[in-house]
Amino acid sequence: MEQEAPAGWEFFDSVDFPTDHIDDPMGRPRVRHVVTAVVVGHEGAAWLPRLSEALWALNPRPDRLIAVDTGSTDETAELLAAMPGVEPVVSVSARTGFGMAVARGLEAHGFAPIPSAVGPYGDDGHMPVVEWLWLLHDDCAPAPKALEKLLLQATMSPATGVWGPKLRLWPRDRELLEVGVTTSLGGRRDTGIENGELDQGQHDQPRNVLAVSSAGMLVRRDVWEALHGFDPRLPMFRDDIDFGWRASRAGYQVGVAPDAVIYHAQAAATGERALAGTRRHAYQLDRAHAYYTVLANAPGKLLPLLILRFLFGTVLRSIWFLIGKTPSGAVDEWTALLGTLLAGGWTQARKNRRNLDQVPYDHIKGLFSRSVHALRHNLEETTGTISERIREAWADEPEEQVVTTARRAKSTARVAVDQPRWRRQLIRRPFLGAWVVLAIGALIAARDLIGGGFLRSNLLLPAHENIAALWHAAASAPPGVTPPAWLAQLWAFSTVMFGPSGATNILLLGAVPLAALAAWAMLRSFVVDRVARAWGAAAYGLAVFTNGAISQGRLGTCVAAIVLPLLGAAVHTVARRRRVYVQGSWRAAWFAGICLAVLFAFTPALGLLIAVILVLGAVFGLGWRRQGRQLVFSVVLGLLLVLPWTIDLVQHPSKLGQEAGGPPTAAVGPGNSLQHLLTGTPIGAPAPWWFAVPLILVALVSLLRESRQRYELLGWFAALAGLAGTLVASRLGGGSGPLMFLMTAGWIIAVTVAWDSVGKSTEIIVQGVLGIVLLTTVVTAGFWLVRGTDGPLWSGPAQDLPAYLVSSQDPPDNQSILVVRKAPAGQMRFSLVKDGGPRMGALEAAPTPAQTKPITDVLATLGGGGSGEEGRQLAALAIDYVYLPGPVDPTLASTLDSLPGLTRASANDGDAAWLVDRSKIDGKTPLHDQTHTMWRILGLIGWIIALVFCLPTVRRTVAVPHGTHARRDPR
Amino acid sequence: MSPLLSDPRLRLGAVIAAMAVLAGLGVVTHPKKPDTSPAAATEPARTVVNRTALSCPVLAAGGKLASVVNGVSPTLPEGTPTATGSAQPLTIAPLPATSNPVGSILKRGFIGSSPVVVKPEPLSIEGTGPLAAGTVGTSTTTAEEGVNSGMASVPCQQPGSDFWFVGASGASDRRDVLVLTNLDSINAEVNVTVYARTGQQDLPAARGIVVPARGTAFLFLKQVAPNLRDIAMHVESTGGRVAAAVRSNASTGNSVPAGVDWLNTSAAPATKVFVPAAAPGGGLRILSIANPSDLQASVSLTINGPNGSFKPAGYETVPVAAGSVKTIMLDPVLHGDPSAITLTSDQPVTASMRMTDAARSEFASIGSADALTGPAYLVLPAHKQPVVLQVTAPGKTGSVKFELRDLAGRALITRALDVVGGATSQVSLPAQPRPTYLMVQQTRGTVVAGVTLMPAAKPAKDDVAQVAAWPLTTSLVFRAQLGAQPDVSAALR
Repeated sequence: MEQEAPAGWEFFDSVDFPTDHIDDPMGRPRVRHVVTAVVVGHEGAAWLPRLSEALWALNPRPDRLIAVDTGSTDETAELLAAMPGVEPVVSVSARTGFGMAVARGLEAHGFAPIPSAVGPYGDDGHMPVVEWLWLLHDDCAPAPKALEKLLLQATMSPATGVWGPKLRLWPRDRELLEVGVTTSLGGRRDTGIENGELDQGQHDQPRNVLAVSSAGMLVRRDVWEALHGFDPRLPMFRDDIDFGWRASRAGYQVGVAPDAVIYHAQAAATGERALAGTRRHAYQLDRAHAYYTVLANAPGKLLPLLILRFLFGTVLRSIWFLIGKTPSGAVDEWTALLGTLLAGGWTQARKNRRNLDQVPYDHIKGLFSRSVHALRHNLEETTGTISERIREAWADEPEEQVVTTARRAKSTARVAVDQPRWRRQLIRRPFLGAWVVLAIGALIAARDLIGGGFLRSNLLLPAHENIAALWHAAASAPPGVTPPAWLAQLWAFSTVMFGPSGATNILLLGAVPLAALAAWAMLRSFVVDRVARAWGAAAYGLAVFTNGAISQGRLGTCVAAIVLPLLGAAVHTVARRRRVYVQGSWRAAWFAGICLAVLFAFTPALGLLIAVILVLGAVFGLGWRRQGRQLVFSVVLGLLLVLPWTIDLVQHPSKLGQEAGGPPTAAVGPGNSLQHLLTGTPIGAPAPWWFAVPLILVALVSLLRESRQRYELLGWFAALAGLAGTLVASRLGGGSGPLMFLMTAGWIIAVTVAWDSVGKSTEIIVQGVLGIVLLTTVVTAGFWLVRGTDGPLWSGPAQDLPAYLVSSQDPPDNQSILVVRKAPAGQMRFSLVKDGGPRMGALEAAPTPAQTKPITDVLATLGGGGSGEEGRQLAALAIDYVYLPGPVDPTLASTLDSLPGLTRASANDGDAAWLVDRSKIDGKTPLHDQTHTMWRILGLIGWIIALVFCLPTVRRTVAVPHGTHARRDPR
Repeated sequence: MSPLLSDPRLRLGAVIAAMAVLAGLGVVTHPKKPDTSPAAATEPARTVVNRTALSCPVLAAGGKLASVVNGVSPTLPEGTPTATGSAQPLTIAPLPATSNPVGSILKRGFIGSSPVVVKPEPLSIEGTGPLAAGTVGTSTTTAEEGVNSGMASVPCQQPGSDFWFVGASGASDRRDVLVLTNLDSINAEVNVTVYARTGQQDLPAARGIVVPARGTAFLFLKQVAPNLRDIAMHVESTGGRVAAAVRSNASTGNSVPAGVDWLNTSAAPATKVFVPAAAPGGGLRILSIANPSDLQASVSLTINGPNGSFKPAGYETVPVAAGSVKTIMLDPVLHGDPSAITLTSDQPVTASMRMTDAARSEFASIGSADALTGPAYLVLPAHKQPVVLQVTAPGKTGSVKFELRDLAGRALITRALDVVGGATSQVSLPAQPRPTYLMVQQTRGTVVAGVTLMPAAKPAKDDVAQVAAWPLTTSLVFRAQLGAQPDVSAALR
């Protein structure tokens, strides 16, 4: 794209041409303006020709044009010398700041002489003369009428001593840069202009501002001299604000004349010209000058508050930098603040400025921007960045990738232009369509489960009431029992996802679309064909359903299905061969570690299998090189992040056979059925096992292709590993739901990759095979929609007790209810319900037999007819109610009926309840939880470190003022 | 990728071979049953009985009677858990908490007795400690003449909340009293539901009976249910525990006493009911069937005689109206054989059998019983005639072993006994001048058992006929074995 604007007059808007002369429309007496313009140039050869042109076109022109060259190494000096009517170029050292350079130029040539009052049209001697100084940058170009409009405004409001133009982006874009500038007392430079805001005349009111940019600043000579120019302590950044602030304090108003337009190339701000030779970080300089400006000019009574505010902001920003892995940014923050505060230059500056104070602060208070604006601005910036990232990610093709290779080219769908927009979108982004279908389908399939109540099944206990309860449960367990690690992770998820119940709903009911999304994110990295990718992702999502994870309420498998592709993508990033010198990625390794930690917590067996595969693959496949070490590191990290749980798994290997939810999940598996084993469909899954047969056959066929087999073999390897794991797990008496899911996932990857390479083929066999795959998927999806709510998963209250018993568990009563369930001729099973009853993780963190022994003993005696003492014993155990859910064992019920100290209480239909008389006995509950605070703190620290390391690095962004003239820092 | 796998056929072959190998392993091996028991589950806790309280009812004074309570803490099988600690004697004492004990059980295996008294008062056998497990007692009253003539003997009863009695009567020839005893220190409240021939009776006086703490309450059926014959009673406590017993004094039409005895409790209604131990010999055998359900029950009778089971003609299907009691004279069917009766019904029913001696001067009653599932203990009072242990295997062939020990715990008889399926075996235990105790343990099959005492076939002239029947029920120590297990998910459906 040609960046240079065409030379000549057409560079300007026609509206910028002079059409009339400087007559005051109010009919006030005319003023004679004498303008001295100063151009400061530094390495500005690229822009100076434009400035020359602009000066040629300018009408009226300044009476004297002074050019200062600050040690440029290119032809800046020559170009400056070629400007119309310029005085000899003044050369100063490269370290001279802008204000100093202007001062040097004025020293060398002086202000323009006042011309004779006698002109060709008569004697103007009666007209007052006003002398002006006009500051210009080398990368700006005033519109032809700019000076005229500035002077017109100056004529109209003579009280204003400093004028600024409207700055617009070079070349002729209508993008606004600045219409006056102000600062918050926190030091943030604020132009009041949105990023990328177009000039539609919305700011075209002449008004008073705090300061104007030095590009095109028109200063009355007396003002300039009274204020001694720019502060030499501010060679760059905030010099303009400081000047404007001082002018305002001294009673000279600062105004902006939006009719006067100056185009600005923003050379320094956009990085086209390096901020020359700053030895210190530009960021630190910016902060330091911001503090200096505020400290030097703010009213004294505000100073303590301001210093506190600086400290607070510095602490916050330091934390942000530390999270963003840029500790030097934090160092800059502190050196800037402490350097400015302690150096004391600002105290001297305050002393010098004391005599300026003509206007009380309250009068110019309105010119400052409020801190809320700064906050809002920060927020907008952050959300803007995030939404941009999301937009990038959602685009089916990474945006920066240019279609260069033939392989890329085929992924670019050719879409007829005459198609309607939605259809073009659909063809370009088939996954978007598929995903919308899956998302709506998830709502349909969960039609009976959405709404009030908690999701429950025999494999899923109800979620906690609130985040605080989950937070407590995540680290609390009876002594000697390790709380399950997945509770803590679920807590972290539920803090952002509408509480524990909301998080469970999203993870379980939204598992299909979420898993599809995750799979799509992974397939993006090695599947090019969009349709294949969309199919693979959708089929992967549906595999969560066919596995039975949703309908049985197996939270572990659902989470594993979502995390598995993310882990795959991270491992792919680490392990793929790239044509760059440094292989692998530490960020991806950290992320893989986090994914593994989730797998270890939610599905220990799957986590272990994948960890073993990763370690073996790292050692034997990648060698003990950088990538291999990164994979091993991620496994170690995953084990460390779930730490007390890891030890627990080693001590109790039987827990490997469970997934999040508890011991009954150990029964999920292929059983003794060979077809269920080979098709990866657990017994009890909603879909019949033969649904998987076409997929397996096509996956087998895919092996027959000639080329590019690495990913197909990887898929098959995953499937076979899952099969072997299932075999081992089921033969050892463990659950294998997630392992069987891995089998299906492997086959889907194999088929997707094969589809990717043959998808464009027109052979009838290929098309037929793909048709079978598609048909199977559609049938499965239909099955899902119809039978989605069949499973044991249901939605209901968190407890099955009467409402008064549920509420009696709340403070201040904190009552506990002994629920006893007795099958005919079976033994009693009991649970002491308190603090909201059994919730997620209660099975894993169940009380130890030693703890429940007192209750067991009492109930055992009651089961044998009782001795009459049990009422008192129950009261001594702080049990307030005994509840027998139906069908009530009549013997036990009559024993309880006749027990002294127990009276019948109301119960649900078919159940029976007794109130224990605790009026005489102050009982003590035998069940106590121990909170593992140490592990919790260590875990939090570990997770924060891991998250910080897998997040992108924060960069220090210097908000270079648009008008800043780049020059070297003099120090 | 290894060069080997670059050949598509090899790739395919390798994958199929791997799947085949894994499938083969899947065929050869078998899945282990997953352990889905709750995390804290261990072996079910066995109940250790460390406290006992038995209520031993007594007859009302009248005539020249001799009343005694014999109790024993029996010798238990090896390995039976008992409470730890030093053995504290169990006391045999009157009900009031302040009363002095009248007897004690000092040592396991030794029978302890109360003194023989003529003016009896209700006693209890109570105590804690190692001796408590398995303790049984029997309250026995004998009289030579008067309203209480004959023998009335009943096992001391464990307090509970649910009792069934079948075969009581409020008619003029009977004086039946429901005796409710409360051994606990709080009052108990009892509802009695009465079923009679005409159906369930609405008797307000039988509801809300308060049994005072450590006291007794009486329900005189003649007052509550006058002229109602063939009564079945369901005694339910709504608070507190009671021991219930029904004392029955019979007379012939002209107020000549016709014996006294306790009605033994019947098992809770069920669709299959066993009435054990119909005594051998002459006399009446009256079976009472109570149907407390809301529907008419069709009951079919099977007699388990000494030679096997048979269905008596005419009783293949006996209709019992809803809420009513029906009596059947079975002595023509039984022919004086020691038998048991199995009742099969489509509605839950319960039953009892009333037996008299040939002269109808004394009677005994035995209720339906549950099958034995472990050792059962019974203290037998001194008896002048041999008693008969009747063991019935209503289903398949069963076997029991039994021991008879004397009051010092010496084994007098130790035997194993096989019972042919459907038949009743009888073992005659010789007369004993002192109390003895019996242990009967089921070792195979379903077995019900009872002990009966009948007068001699040719009684001496001055003999007073003594008829008694004692049920054998599994000792609490062995019923309470299934304990409780903590399970978090028990709180959820």
